[in-house]
Amino acid sequence: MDTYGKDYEDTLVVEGGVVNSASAATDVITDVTEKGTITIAASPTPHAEILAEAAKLLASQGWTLDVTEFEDYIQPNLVVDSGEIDANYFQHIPYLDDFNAENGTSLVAVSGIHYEPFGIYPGTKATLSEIADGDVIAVPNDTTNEARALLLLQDNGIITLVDGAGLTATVKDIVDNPYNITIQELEAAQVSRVTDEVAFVVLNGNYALAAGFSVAHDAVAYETSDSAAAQTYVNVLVVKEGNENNEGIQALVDVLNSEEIKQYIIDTYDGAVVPFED
Amino acid sequence: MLDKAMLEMLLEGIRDTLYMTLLSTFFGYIIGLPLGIVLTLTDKDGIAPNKIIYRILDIIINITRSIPFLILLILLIPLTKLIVGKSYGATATIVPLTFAAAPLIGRMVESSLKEVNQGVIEAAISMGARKRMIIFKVLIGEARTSLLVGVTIVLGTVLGYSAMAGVVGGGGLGDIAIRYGYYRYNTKIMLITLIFIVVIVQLMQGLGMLAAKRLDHRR
Amino acid sequence: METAYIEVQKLSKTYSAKNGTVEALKEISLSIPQNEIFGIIGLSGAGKSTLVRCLNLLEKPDSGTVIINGEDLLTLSKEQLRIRRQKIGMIFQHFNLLEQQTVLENVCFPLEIRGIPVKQRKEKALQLLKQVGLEDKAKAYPSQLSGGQKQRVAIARVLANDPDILLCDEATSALDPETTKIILNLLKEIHDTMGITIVIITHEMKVIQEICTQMAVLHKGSLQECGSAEEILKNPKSKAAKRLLMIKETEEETDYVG
Repeated sequence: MDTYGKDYEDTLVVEGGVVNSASAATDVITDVTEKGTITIAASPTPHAEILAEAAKLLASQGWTLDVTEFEDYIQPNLVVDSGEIDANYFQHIPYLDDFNAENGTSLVAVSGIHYEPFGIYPGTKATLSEIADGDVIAVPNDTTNEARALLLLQDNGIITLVDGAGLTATVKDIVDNPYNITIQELEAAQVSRVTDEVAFVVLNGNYALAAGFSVAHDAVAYETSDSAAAQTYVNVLVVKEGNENNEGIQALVDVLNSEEIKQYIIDTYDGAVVPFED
Repeated sequence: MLDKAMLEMLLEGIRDTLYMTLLSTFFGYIIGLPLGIVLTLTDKDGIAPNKIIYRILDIIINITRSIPFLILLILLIPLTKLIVGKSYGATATIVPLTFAAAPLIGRMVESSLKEVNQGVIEAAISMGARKRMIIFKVLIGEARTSLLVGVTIVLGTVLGYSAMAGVVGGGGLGDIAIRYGYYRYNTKIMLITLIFIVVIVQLMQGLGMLAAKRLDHRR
Repeated sequence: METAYIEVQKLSKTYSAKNGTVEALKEISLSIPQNEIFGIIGLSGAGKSTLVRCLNLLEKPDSGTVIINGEDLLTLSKEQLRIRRQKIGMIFQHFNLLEQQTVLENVCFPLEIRGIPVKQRKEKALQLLKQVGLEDKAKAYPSQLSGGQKQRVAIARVLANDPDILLCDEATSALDPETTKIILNLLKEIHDTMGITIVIITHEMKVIQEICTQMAVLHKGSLQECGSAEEILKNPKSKAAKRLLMIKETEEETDYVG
């Protein structure tokens, strides 16, 4: 899960995921070392879709990957903590840390798999080189999304934020604005609707898709794996502490980080979902 | 306590809130006052009963009043762009705020004008007064305190709606309270903006009531 | 009897109420000569208020005609009727003054309706206030006046248009006997000095007795008796008239408000 993952599902999920944790829990063998079955809990999109692809690769190595889809964000952590399921793949690190602190669980992230990048999309201007004095750029107005938008603008040399402005940055943290850009804060859903009125808009992937943008083809710039946002909001594979080095988990990590899966992600999600590079 | 940037933001918020609230209420009355008058005149006990006109206006008002403000804000964007040339910013929110206020104002005006003693209206008719004279001198003249109390209620309501202006970047105190106070857990900012909002509402209420009292000669 | 100034022919009016219909007026025919003080008496629900409101068409009758000075009001256009009404004054039980306007502004109102310039309005209004003995209250508001004073303002207001007819709809019913007397005397004085035809609606025989020259008795929407007030008071023929006279004798005990 990440902050906009829910919205992402709203846009992309066409069929409700089947929650079969109860049945899965009973016939799952918790010991991963007994080479055969790896059980994993995941959100339907894109996580379960990526896992379905990974299952094919694992099968060729003699592993069976048993994926259980969850619509909520609490159960998948609880079933991993209780040992009913080996791993899960739906959340980002801030959520995981928060969950551990709140619930006294000891879950750990094994590997970052993908992130859903913010992009700068063309409004009345097609490329960043056209940017002119006094242009207006629309950004989402909620905490994380606004900060990610501002950080992305900073990464592209449009503004400079105060030192240490991280994922809580606001327009008040802008210390240098050479183009005298007006940052127009709007409700996230509203940002994509002003493309004909502002120079550029900064959007999360799902809203960009909803607005008819192709992340891969239309974004004039988007978050790279080494950006603070991607480092923070990368979706991770999570296991119960102590199981990190289990053979099955290692096999799963290897497959999820394989070139085949990376290519699958790039081909399938058109840039809205990007493989994370360590 | 507050850094300079925060203070500037708050002052801007006050300015935006007053700008949006006062102008929207003003434009709301330009639509709502005639609306309320026509409703009063065309109702079955009015001086120009007309079932069809009353029914049509009644339904339009009920429909527009049922639309949540946030949705109205989005629905009216094409019209907003047509009128102010921009779909975002404080000025742009005045359009949906006006359209949210107008039906409310229409109803408030209708109810105020209907409080006017039927006997006084009859007296004016018996004197051979034109409808225009009855509307301005009798209906509005006699209902003026009630109308003024209505204005203060509308101002408070519009100010409340204006908190939603942040969706289209309208700014204002309500938006600051939501974005900094709520989204960013800044309790201090939330509290300060709320105090400002309360003070503004109190001031408008107080001034309105004072004016209403001054203008009321009924006791 | 002189020729009729106000002529009412077969006037009928039915209201629809919650439980069926109410026949307020049943084919009333009535002649009111010029320059009389004509009383119309009846108990509450007799239809007398409806009748007087038909005389200036505040109420539209279902059938029948209302002819004033040879002119059939029901044939007039809206605009003609509006102009005609300016000469048919009306005063009410509850005075119906503009509460948010001063006494002077209230008296000016009919002149304002007629588009008289402000200066002339004020002059005439002050003169009328003098006539009703309220020149010192010109700047007061109705809420600061007693009932009797309010009715005097209403009378000054109604005289501003120099009416040829004055309709009084229970004009003294909200007033105490003392004040009633003052108002009735004022009406009589107006009648005597200005020659206005006055129609008084009342449920009190003493009002008739005090100033009316002619009268009609209404009961449940029908005309019972009509003629010289003196004669009917002396020798009532209809049951309704007899009963109203009896009530008059026991008036101190009962208070009927129409």
